[in-house]
Amino acid sequence: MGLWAFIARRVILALFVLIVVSIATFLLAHAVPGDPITAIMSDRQANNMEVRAALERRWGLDKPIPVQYFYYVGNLLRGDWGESISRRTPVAQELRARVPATIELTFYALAFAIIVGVPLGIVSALNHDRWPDHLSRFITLLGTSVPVFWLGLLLLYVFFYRLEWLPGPGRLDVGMQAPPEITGMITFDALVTGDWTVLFAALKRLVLPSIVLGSFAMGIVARMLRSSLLSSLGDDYVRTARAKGLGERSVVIGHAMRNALIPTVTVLGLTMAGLLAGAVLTETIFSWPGVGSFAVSAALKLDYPALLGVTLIVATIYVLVNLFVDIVYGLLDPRIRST
Amino acid sequence: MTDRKFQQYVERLHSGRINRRRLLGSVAATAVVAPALIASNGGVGAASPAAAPRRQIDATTLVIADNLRDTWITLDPGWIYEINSQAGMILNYEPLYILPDSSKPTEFEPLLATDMPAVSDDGLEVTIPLRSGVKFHSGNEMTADDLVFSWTRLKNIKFQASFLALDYWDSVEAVDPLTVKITLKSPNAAIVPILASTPLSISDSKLLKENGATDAEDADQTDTAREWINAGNSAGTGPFKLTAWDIEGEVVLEKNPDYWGEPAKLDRIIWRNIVDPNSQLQAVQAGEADLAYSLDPDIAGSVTEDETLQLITGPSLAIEYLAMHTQEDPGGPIANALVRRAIGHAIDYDGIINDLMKGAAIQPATIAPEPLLATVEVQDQKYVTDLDMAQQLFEESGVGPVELTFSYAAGSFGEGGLDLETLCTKLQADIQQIDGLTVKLNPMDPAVRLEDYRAGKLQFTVSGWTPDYTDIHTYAEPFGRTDTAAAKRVGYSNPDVDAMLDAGIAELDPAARVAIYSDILGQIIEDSAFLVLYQPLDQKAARTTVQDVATHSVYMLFLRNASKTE
Repeated sequence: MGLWAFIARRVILALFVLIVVSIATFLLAHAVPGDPITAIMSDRQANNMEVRAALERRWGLDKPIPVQYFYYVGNLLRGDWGESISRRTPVAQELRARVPATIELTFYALAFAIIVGVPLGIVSALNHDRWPDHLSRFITLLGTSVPVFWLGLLLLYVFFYRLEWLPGPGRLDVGMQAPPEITGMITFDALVTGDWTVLFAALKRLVLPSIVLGSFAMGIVARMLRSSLLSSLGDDYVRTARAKGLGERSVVIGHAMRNALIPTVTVLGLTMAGLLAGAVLTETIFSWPGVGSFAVSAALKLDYPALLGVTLIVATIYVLVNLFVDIVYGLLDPRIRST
Repeated sequence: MTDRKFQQYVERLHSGRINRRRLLGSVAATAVVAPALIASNGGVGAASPAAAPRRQIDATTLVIADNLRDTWITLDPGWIYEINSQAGMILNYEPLYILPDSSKPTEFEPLLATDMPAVSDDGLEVTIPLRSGVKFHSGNEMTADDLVFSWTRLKNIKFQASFLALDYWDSVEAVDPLTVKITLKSPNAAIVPILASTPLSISDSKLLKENGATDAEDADQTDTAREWINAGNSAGTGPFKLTAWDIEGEVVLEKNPDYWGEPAKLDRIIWRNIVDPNSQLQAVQAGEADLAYSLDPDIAGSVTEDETLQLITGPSLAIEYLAMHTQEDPGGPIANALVRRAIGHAIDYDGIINDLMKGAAIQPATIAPEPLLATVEVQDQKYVTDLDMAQQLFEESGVGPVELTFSYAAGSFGEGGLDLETLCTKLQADIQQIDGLTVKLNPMDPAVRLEDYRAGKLQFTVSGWTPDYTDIHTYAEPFGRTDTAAAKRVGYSNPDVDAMLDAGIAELDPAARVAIYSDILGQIIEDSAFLVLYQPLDQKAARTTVQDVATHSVYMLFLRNASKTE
């Protein structure tokens, strides 16, 4: 199979996955006991049939479920994601505002995971079973096992409240205007527009949530790198490199690391998709206006249009990441294209 | 990287001398290095931790930390029904009457009216004179036509607060530019409290129409002005006007320099979205906000220990109550009034108030919170903890050993921020002190519990209630009248109470009303379909620099006179 045929096949499969996800989410959301109109109606109006009918008409809930689904897909294709039942705002508008915030947070969390995780993994592998290894493994164990809500509240207490080194929840300081929107990612927009005050304020507010969100990924990166590096360091080509008289630095960085990084990067890619979708607790603790907090709110209030919007966005991210990985594998190893 | 180097970098970017790969590399490097530098140095421009307060907000700006994300939706009078946002609403839009101090719930004052209503002899026609010379934020002059448009729009949008314009009157007309006449469906003693509700505020009809508003019959499908208002616009007359709306970030109200009344002392009030109550308090303690809106009973104690903070406290009109089904299906043994009364005497009310609520609550006699009309008169009829009496009543009921299913919303909080898991576990223990009565806890998904409760399917549950307006009738009717709201959910029906409710709402003499509603409340206590566990106090934490801010049982925070010292 040629490369373009391979890519076309993968893209068609990805579209098929998204259609299945949309149907499954739609059916599951409607199968859950509970009614979104009841959830938003006040006690006083709960028995008012005129108000209930108006609300059902507004969100199309007065129609049979298959009709609702086809209306939804039809509107989606025209760029209309529907209106959130609980917030009464267009879902597309909510997602447009939230996706960049989540991507920005994920980016910095991933940066933290790499900056801390990679050196820890290397130190650990090079000092196998000695105290730096034990210390490093302890730190990575903490990173993967400490609950996010606990770490978030602890860091806020220490660095915001007690030491006053870092600001509290939110994306910007009180009364500060975000730079003109280019991407919706404040640090990027501030950098491009040269708004240094906003850039540094936004960066300061990213430190704590990035550490909290990135700590799990940091642990995974360090442990994966340690394991891969240990395996590589025992391989014949590394022994050969040493026998040739290369320095230890050159052996580790130039030879062992190159192979050890491959599985680490693979795990990192999947972790990134997980971070994008799973920032719920971090976003809640730090009042971060991302997709995760929107998803929780939508799920609790059975807000069908919002739930579908979030699910489709998250599914699209996963599908795109997998599509990207598939295509890269196909490029790197032509044998995969024929399977 | 220094500022100068950044500047050069951006210039090179604009001139095309940097390609995309280098830009991305640069952003990544900034992302990687800057947080670490900031964390280690305390950040650019950050003052020493010893400087107090480190985060200084100027004395003309009040910053309130609140969970905007989950509690604010709009400041559109046609669509608003949320509780927390009432504090901003009453600053931005104004109704005909206002209740300045909710601890005196009958002392309403004219706001956009100039006098109290003139009521015809048959009680059906209410004439109200409007204030002259009032201008909207746009500069347009307010007239009676604006009122008629605003209320008709509210009615036809058919959302939560539409009952205020649907249920009580047949028509509203502008007699002249500064007089309106309301023709009521029946005489209504609560008309002034109803007219003090924020959804009945008067909005700028000309400006709203220009931005998608309509008062037509199909306004529920065609009115789009909410989006315009939610973009940070205002069509009100209040001392502040909305200038920025981002419930994930900040909502900003700026002083209205052309306000018709006494001008505000503050230049702006900023509501800042901080979801977690602990983080709200930390923001106040660190000087990043002036007032924390949400204050759990558990953390209120730390406020009194901090000399830079004050605890602003006042009565709420919320109640947390037990609902017990009065019909055999699904009530079972609890349909027996003696069993319900036995439960009423088994509950440790003091334990709930002093231990769980840390003293930030009181026990009202029944479904009407204090200090509403007639609540003092029925104080001596309230349930008190008496296990002997509880056992005796249960044995008199003759139902024998039984198990009750006690449903509650899992993972939720009751009024005043009390964790329902904790409350229900305590109630289970209290009730099971009656020999022969066991209680099975049934945690339910909150949406499903609500739906089942409203459908009258639950045997025994716990729920909360907040007021629509400040009058005893807004409690007595939904809990007392057959087939209405809460009464319907537990199958409660007492024709005597129904008749007294008809008489109570039509009675315009305050003393006579006290007598009628005392009888109603007394009967509701005796029938015991509802047991009120507690009425929380409203508590807010504020810096001591904050002046003249009060809690309010309907507007939640009364900020019209607020100021700050340096």
